[in-house]
Amino acid sequence: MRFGTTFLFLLLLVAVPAAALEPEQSAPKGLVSFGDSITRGFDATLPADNLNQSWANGTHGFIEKLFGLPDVKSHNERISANFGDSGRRNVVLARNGAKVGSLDDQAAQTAGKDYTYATVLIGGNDVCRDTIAELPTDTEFATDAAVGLVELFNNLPDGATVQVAAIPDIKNLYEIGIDKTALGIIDCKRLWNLTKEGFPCGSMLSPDNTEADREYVQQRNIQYNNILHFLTLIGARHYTNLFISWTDKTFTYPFSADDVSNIDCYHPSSQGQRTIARETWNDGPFKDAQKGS
Amino acid sequence: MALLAAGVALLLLALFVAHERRDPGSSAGAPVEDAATQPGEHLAPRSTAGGERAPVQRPSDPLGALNPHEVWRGQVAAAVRRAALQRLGRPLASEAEARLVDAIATVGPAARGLDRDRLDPDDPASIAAMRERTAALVAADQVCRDELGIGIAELMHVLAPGAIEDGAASPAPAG
Repeated sequence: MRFGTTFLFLLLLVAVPAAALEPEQSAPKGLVSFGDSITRGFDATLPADNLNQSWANGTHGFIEKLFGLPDVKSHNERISANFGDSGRRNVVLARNGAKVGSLDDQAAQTAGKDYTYATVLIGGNDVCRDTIAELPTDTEFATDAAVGLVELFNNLPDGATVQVAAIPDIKNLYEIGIDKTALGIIDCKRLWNLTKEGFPCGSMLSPDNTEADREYVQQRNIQYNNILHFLTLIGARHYTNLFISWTDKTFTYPFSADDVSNIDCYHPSSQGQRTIARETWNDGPFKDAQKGS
Repeated sequence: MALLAAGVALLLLALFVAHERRDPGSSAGAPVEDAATQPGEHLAPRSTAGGERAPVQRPSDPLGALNPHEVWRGQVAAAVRRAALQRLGRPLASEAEARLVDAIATVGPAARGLDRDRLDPDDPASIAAMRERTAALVAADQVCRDELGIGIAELMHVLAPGAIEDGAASPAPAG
């Protein structure tokens, strides 16, 4: 009797669709991520790339458990939990240092690959430049973003889903860094100075900037997000074969000191990656699919 | 359909294994309680006075006698050996391997501590813990770089390459 009950239960688990999709929408089993070092989990827990801690592609399998790493409950993990493991792909095309102008290069790699779910989080390196004078104009940013997004939309098969996320509030990261410095956790100002060759962000982090400078850069940050949002809406209207959505949670969420890496005072920590994963998923196209959350 | 069939097959296998674990002596008679048996002795079949073979006693739990910490070290050491062969074409010296396993042992507690505990800005102990855990992670990572030429995060990717397809591997540490 117990055997029969268990059998029936497992049969139902296999047979029932894990999560509802829109008509014509493909299950997001072929995940591909676009963006920069945030999506590569840079400095999230250990120095350099932590792909397994990525909000989009993160994994929590045997090796992560063996090494004792935290689970960020990434989009990748949530997809497997809600839509199953079979036929899964988990691809990261995000590159460290990528600006929005390189989105078209990243997107070109998707041609013919039949990815069914793409995440886009890019633009932080457009806000972060050596100097304020180097920040792209609206036209430059809009042109680069449009070219990249069109390349992506054109390369995805019918029924694919795209989520474009806002550039995080870089000024908020600066303020968190200042708080960490004041608390004596880590000297972020010194660290920013030491690492400026690696990921230059003088436009926001330079000690020579005034508060007015930083507010100006924040306004550029907001304007770039307005452009990305607008282009996403246009794309959603034009590409009716795709399911394109926008989230601003990556900008509006009140990240705290725990969400920012202690290694570089800039990138998201494992907590920050988990926060991004949760907030973007719950504001995204599969928010009703809550297994693995 | 194939998935369903595989699921059913797995289910049957799981139920069989569970049934065997619940009653390990079901197919060979009841197990003999013998606390004095030395490790390994009970694996050999014994003869009774009548010449019949006594039931073979199975080890109650092969992993039960092992120290979990040693099991963990063994698993990590095996992983490190595999990575060393792949990266360097040779195994690490035993001291280097032990040093790296020791370093990796510090990663879990530090990473989970940082991930779990919220910073209390009014508590010096909370601030100190955050600082120390970060330092431990950076130090462990440096040991891995010294021994294998890659950081621990990359080591993990080497050990599980199929989990994430990296179409944009880029060495430059940049935003």
